Amino acid sequence: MRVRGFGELEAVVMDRIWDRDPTISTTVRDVFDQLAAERHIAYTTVMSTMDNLHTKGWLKRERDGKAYQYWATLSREEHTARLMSEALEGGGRPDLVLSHFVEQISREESAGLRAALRRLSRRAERR
Amino acid sequence: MTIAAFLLLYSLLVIVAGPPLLRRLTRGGQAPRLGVAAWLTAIITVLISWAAAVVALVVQIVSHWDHRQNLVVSCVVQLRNVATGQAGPLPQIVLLSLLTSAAVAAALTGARLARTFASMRCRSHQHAEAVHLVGSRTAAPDVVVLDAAKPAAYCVPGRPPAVVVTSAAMTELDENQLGAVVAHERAHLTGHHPHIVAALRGLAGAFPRIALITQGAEHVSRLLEMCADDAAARRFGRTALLTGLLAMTGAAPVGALGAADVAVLARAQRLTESSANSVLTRRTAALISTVAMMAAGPLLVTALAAAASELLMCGMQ
Repeated sequence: MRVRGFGELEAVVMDRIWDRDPTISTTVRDVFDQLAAERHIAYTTVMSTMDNLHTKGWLKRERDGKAYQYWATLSREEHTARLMSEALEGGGRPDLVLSHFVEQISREESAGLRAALRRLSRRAERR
Repeated sequence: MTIAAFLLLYSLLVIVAGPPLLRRLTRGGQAPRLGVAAWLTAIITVLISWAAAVVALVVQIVSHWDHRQNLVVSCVVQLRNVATGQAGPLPQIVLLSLLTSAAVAAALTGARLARTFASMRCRSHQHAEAVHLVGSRTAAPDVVVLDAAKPAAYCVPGRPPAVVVTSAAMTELDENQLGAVVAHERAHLTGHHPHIVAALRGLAGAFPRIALITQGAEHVSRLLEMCADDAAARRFGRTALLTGLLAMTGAAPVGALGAADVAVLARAQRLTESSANSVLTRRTAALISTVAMMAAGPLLVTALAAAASELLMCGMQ
């Protein structure tokens, strides 16, 4: 497994921003101060990471004097809901190819399947 | 001319005879990897035959340009005369518009394929990146847990790729079952299964009338599930995988079996009933010879066509 490097840092920054009060915006300085307390990191690294996240649409920002005020475009829960709808219902995007462990089966359909599977797994356990 | 015609005839044979033969050979999923190889070889051999037929035609036209009595060359010369308007304006317009529409159709198909592949790749990379940002990380760097009420697990290729397990699935599965589910998804990623499925779906979209390709896309994804099942069962045992399947299909009231159920059930049945060694050996032998035959097909056909035209030349002299 290769090291995630920059992607990993983006995840850490998003974690920090999502864990804050969503009504209050944040600055690169705030995030840097938090991160610098735990790890060796450069201010410019945090700055470019947050700039990247803004370009990718994860953060919104507004100029406030010399610095930017950043806030998350969507909450973690909203992102999760969007991803799950994309993954489980296709989310209206047929061009996303995922390999599901089991195809999503409607609730009405799967009773017969479960009965059959239960029989099969009992048989497998007996052997 | 003969080489191109032979190659096209050969591809037609594979297109017509391939699907029923391959369906029969891969139905039980006894040797899923070979089954995948057989379907892919059939599809690739058809595509190669088409490309080789075009190349053979062009080579023949170029190399026989001075021999006007050659059938293909004289044909091309005729066409050129029509195209330059020597046979009157109407044939010229008809021919030019035919040629243009053929070229445009070929270019459009190519462009659509390229666009489909690019957008599939982009979508899955975006999804993988988002999953890594949103999900909670686990001890394994490639496994991400997403908060959701529905038990589900899937993998998505990207940089880096991700195996996604929902929080509901985490509570449903015991350690061994979870191990089996993750091993199944990792087998897809390490085997580049999502790429194979995406390529076949793109091709099936571009050639919706060719059953070899549309059925190939379906059967290959079914067989790839079985390949991943085998990888997971080898590490965590069949029982863990089977009970994992059971846990992931979710609780539900009474009803009949749908198409997706049948696919899952076929996987489960395959895991419980190990087929006799003799069946496996026979299937393996049949699949290997089919793959070998199809892989050698375009070459053999070319050699045969060359020999035939050689003979024909001798006969004429």
